[in-house]
Amino acid sequence: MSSLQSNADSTNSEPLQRSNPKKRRKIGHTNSPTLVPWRSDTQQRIYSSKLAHALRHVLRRNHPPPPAKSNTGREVRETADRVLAATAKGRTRWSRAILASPLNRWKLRRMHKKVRKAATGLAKRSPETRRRLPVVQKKARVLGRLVPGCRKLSFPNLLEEATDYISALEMQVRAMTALTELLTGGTSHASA
Amino acid sequence: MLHCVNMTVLERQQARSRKCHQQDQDQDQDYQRSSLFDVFSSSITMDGYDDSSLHMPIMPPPAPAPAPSSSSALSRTTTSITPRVATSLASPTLGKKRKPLTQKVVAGGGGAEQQSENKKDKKVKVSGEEDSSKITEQTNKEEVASAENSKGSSEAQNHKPDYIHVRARRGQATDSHSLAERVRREKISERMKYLQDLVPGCNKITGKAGMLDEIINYVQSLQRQVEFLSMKLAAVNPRLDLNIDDLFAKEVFPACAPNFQSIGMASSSDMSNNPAAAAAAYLDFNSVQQLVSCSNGLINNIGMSMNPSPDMGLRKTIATPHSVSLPETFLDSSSCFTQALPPSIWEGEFQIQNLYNVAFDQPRASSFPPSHPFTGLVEASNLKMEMEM
Repeated sequence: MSSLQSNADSTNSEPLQRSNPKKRRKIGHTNSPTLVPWRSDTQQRIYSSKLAHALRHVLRRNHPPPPAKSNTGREVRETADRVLAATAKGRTRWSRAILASPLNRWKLRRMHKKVRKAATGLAKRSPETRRRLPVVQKKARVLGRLVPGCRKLSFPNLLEEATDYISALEMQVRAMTALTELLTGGTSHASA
Repeated sequence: MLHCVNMTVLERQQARSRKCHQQDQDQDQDYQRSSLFDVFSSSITMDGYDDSSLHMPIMPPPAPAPAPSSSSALSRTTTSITPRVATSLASPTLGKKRKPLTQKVVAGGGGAEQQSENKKDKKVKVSGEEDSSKITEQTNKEEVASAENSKGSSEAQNHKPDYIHVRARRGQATDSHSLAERVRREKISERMKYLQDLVPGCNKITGKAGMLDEIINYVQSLQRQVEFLSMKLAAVNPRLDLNIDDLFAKEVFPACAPNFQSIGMASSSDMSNNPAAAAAAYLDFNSVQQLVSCSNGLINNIGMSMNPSPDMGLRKTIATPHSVSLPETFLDSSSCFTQALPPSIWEGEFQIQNLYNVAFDQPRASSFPPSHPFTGLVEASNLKMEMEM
């Protein structure tokens, strides 16, 4: 499997070789565990405070809630992601990608998915070509799609971005859980 | 072809030895004698190829035609296969990527194993390229000779550990590739280890595919969690005042005055459960950090904003380190909030101000009376919260 992967990667990395050195120059300095200490308490507080500030604006906009749309959830999600990316200080690729594309990423994503599905349905796909894609490569691509802005990234860099993204997401979940608990703790108690 | 290469090797070795490494000659002479002699004998047996002439201009050595003389010269002069020789061998004659190859060779550091690997690979390739039986004979002999060479070179390598391989490759810089791939694989494995520590439940899984599966699942689950929490936040928040966020923010940076400002704003703007809940939330958060003064101030404000009529009996005192009880009491008050606002009590407000020396702004202080019902819950210093459900 490793040989397969190495072959595939060597073939795949050739077109990327031009871009890879650039990417490496940009990202080469990053060492994933030392980038941002996402697990630290201070980071979580910083994020919480920034999120609170940002959410205020969002919720103020939606406070007289236009019942026709129910975007608030998506908007909250997007603000949360953007605040997370801002907390990352743009050192990572995914954070830069989030900050750089404020246009509804999810909508664009859905559109892209539809377009791609239509396209791939038309394209010829012999079973041989499918088998030639090593399993690891497929999964690396899936991961690249999950992490924002990391679609065409080399495998080691992708892993690095994924590491940082995962720890950032964990912190985000922790902060938002605390926030929701605080905000909804009152109502749940009142109802009880 | 092989013997030509051998010739060039020998030639270069001669040249090399002439340049320097006089010191090593004595050491390696014995090794070289046996190995080179075999090589040389094999080369001698072969017919003269035209290719030899090609190699000649590269190195202006004495012609190896007089085999015994040259062999003696070789034995006299040649050292073990030095990397520099190898590089010089490699660069002119053989394939394309010599420089990176040699660089990487030097960078990668020496290993007799690597050298033997390279040799074997090279032999395989050379044998692959040539078809004639003669050549196969040559390859066989070459293998033997080169095996001995490798031994000799490996022995020689011990003296110069920074060099890797002896023979130059034919047009395929697999060395650089293999080195680069090795580095790359190490990078990947290192990062996979990081990820393994990060993603729970990946300790048992070995292999990139399984690990990637786990990682993908985990990322997806985290994203779904964020989505769910954001929906929850969106649903919850419109009920509560937005200044709660301010409270959170100030919670991180304990600045009391802005808190009171926000609370004042909150109370002035919304006369519903919000301030209480906000204060509750704030205080709950406070439990993490013990911002005594802030919590006291908050409770003051909350007390000020509470409905007096149902809560007249409430005696609320603040336990500074434990604000967990606070939210509950405040929830009581919040439940009372839906009732009509009782008339405000001015005395308590002033008392609070006196007691806590809160920096109430004048406008804010003035704003309190008209908008906030007031409970006389002010106590001197130690306030305890009492639960009333």
